Amino acid sequence: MDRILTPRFSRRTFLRASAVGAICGVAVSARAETAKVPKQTVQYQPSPKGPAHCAACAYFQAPSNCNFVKGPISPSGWCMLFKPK
Amino acid sequence: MGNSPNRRVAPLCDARTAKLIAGGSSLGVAVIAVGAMMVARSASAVPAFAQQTGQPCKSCHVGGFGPELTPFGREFKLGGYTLRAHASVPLAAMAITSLTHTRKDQNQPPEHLNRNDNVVLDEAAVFLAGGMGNHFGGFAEVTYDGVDRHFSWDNLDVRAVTKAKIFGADSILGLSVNNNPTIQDAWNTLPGWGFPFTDTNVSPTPDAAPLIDDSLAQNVLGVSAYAWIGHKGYLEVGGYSSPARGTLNALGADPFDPGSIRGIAPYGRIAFQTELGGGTFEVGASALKTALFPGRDRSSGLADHHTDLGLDTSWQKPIGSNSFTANLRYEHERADLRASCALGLIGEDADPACGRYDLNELRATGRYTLHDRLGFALSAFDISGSRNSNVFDGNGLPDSNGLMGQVDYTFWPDGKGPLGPLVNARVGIQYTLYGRFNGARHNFDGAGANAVDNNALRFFTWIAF
Repeated sequence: MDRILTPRFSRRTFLRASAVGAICGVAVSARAETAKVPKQTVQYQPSPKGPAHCAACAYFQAPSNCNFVKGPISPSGWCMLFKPK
Repeated sequence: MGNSPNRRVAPLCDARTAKLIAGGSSLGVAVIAVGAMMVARSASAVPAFAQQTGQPCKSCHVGGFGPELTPFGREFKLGGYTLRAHASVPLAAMAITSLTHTRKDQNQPPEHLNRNDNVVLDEAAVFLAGGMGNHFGGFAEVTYDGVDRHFSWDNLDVRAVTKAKIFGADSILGLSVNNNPTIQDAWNTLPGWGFPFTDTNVSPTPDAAPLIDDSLAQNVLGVSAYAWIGHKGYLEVGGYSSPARGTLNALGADPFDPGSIRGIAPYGRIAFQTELGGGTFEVGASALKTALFPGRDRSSGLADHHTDLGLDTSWQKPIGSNSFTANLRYEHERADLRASCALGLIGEDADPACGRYDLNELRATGRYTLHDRLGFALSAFDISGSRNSNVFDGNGLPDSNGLMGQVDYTFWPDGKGPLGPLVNARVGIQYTLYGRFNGARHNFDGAGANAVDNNALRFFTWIAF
């Protein structure tokens, strides 16, 4: 029969353990940066698209980084997130 | 980005359903609960996220409006909503209104409404939404239900994330605290964010649906841990429990509907995403196992059991400035409503098959969007399962199937509207055609009603800012 059993993990224990886990996990990597997105996710290409290119984008971080896109990028590249400065 | 709360309206109320309600169980039988309350589903883009990222709606959403996510939108969500271009105000709002016409007037329209041609404010919602630092983000939604005429908490998804190397690949580890199983998912195949994105509870919808189809929305609270491995593989495990009765009352949710979870209900999800055919392909599976005390009634010492197993796949392909998406989901549910039988809510307790049934649900949707503005969608749905006259009205079969078509237009997907970059709007027409309804094509209720009588035409407007 399916009678009530005392759960091995109560709701309170479950929520507390989850909260502690989250805090510990984040604390371990407190200095990590925001996770950026892979290049293929934003249709990155190493060449410009018309006049639009990374060095002219609001998200460009000289000399070869982007606020959103992971890894080094080309200043003359382009992706779908392009936004002129 | 949020789903509306489930809305409870008068069901096709037979004696058994009346008994459930009168007995205070408030639809402890989940499958009846779904049908009885006619789940309304809607969701939206959150302009606060657009302000945070500096990106227009179309960067994160297919068709330039929520909730269907692009690959970038999925990354934003799985990254804990933390990507940021500059400081922002973490507030947003949306409103949906509609006119619904059913082929035949309803015998028992929802309270406050006419038998046909109802114009309603489906919902108005405000969001607190944004990222905080590099590790925390989320959204919380409060909604006014214009049909039920009350406020309640709506979808909640608060995350903690961090970067990690897994098998040498750049990955994300995260935790999500949420109140609706599948609302944390990043693909639009599962119920939380699945098509039609917006619908109404004004018109009748099929009674039977698996428990995972929004029945637990806003009546549970859960935590899940996930790993987004190499931005290709997704693994998630978590569990849900029921908040206290007083808490749910204070939040505007019905604590008795469908009941309270015994212990923790485990939830699991696995998915794989890759580039395929010039688009983004995903295949995955999900599982939810629950033991529910119907109407929070523990007196029988038994619980109603549901095991939901799902398979899903999607493909999203940009075609110039247009896009095509296909979503497919199959769900199987095995249920045994032992508590409902023991409590005398359904059937005869002595019958071992009293509350047992199987459900199969199949949903397939294709959508083509022109220039992120004009969208055409066609969706087919089929619900079938074993006969159980204790659980299902009419002939005892849960079977329903049909088609839904939608044409919609989004005004400012690029954030260049006359009201500013944070205002966007969509209008659309939906038509739902039923082949079978609650077990039959003809006379499904024993009173002469046919499935096509519930065919519904709906015009909607949807604004987010």
